[in-house]
Amino acid sequence: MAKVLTLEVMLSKEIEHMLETEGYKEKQKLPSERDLAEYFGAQRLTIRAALQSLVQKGILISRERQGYYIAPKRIQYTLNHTSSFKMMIERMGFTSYVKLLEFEKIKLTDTLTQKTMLAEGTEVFRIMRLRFGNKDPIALERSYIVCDLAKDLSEEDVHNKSLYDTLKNKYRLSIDQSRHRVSVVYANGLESELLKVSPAKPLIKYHGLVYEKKGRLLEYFETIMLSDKIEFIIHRS
Amino acid sequence: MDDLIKLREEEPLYIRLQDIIMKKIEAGEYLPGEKLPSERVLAEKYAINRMTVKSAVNALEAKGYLYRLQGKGTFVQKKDFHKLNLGLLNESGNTGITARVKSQGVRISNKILTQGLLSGSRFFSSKLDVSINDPIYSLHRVRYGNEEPIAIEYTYVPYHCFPGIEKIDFKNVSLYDYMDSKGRMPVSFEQKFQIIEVSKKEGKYLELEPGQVIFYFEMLGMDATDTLVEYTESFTRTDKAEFLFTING
Repeated sequence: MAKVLTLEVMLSKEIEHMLETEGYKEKQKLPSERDLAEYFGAQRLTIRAALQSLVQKGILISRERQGYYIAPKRIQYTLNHTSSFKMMIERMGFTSYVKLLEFEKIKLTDTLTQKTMLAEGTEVFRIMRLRFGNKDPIALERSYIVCDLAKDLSEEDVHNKSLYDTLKNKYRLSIDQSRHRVSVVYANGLESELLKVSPAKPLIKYHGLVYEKKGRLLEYFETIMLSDKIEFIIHRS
Repeated sequence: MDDLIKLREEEPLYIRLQDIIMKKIEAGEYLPGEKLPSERVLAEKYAINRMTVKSAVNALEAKGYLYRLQGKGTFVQKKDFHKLNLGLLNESGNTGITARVKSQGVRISNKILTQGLLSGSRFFSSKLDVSINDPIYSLHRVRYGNEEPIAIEYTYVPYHCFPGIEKIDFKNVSLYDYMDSKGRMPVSFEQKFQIIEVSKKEGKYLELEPGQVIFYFEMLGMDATDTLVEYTESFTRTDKAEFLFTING
């Protein structure tokens, strides 16, 4: 093997390849360090270092005195508007549920006026929902929908239902191409309570403006997700 | 005044202004990197109020056509501006996910950690769809913004697509410029990213403590003939950069 990569890196990649191609399933136990060392013709210490790097990447988990296991899979969050969060959660074999926490009509606050550049005093529906997968909270979803575009939107329209389906079916609003952002934040009091995480835990903030096909601003959304439960995916050609 | 807003009358003004600015960008009247006339000037030119101009500019910024520099004005997005070169390829920078440095006006530089040919790896040969003994060129770089580490990128390309690549000085030459010059620029992608704890090794280069988190990003790039030309893994600091992507309607 060439020397551009250290033996440890090469081995961690070979193990990763083995896990991908030999049908290892989540929570399955790996062969022992000794067996892997023999199989790859490497020192046990090098194998251990390689396995450790896979633990750090979240591919494996290690249990003291028991060995290494395939880590639980993350929810694959596909970045497009054709799959809903509900579908992505169900695809993992979890049950999905979204609980409506707050629904009210408000006038834009200063912060929201800056974010949306809508006129001061514009009325929006403020919707806050908590998303669950198998009864565990996964994401806190905040959404601000411009009232004028979705008059008479009601609690029934958004409780455990797809917001975009409602907008599409009830208001004939289809979504245009838009740019969204992902960054890392720390939980505030409310978020740490609802998502059941310590305030020191990094969370994903996924946010952006959503336009409908005629170019009118429809929504500003901000979703806070558990960072260790999600993997983002995009396929594009 | 003849390009004064005379499009579909029923559309709100800020949408008509968006259309006009987009058409001017597409026509090359406003060039990438060029400064847009100020909001005051645009408001006067089109005889509309400044709040309307702000809404239009904001929407175009959200769509990736424009960007703002604090105190300097609004500019037409250019191909390479303060973005790391993660999958950022077509003119509007709208291909897949891109990492963007949060602060404005950052100068990006590179340090090469290691480069050279490898072979015999089942992992890399299967990723790039070459035979196990075919050489693969590997390039490991640290990316800095204003001398502070932002990301580490490990890139692997099949050598048969780029013979002689090991002689290129990637400290100064952009990898994508080089790939483009060989007619093998990646144009379609499979990308994924997640947030993980930094390892000791990457933490050292990124100046992070164990336990701090990073964006871990993986990408496969295909050229116009659907040949796999790139596999990249990168580790990006979450305090310095965010990820942007375009969602299709």
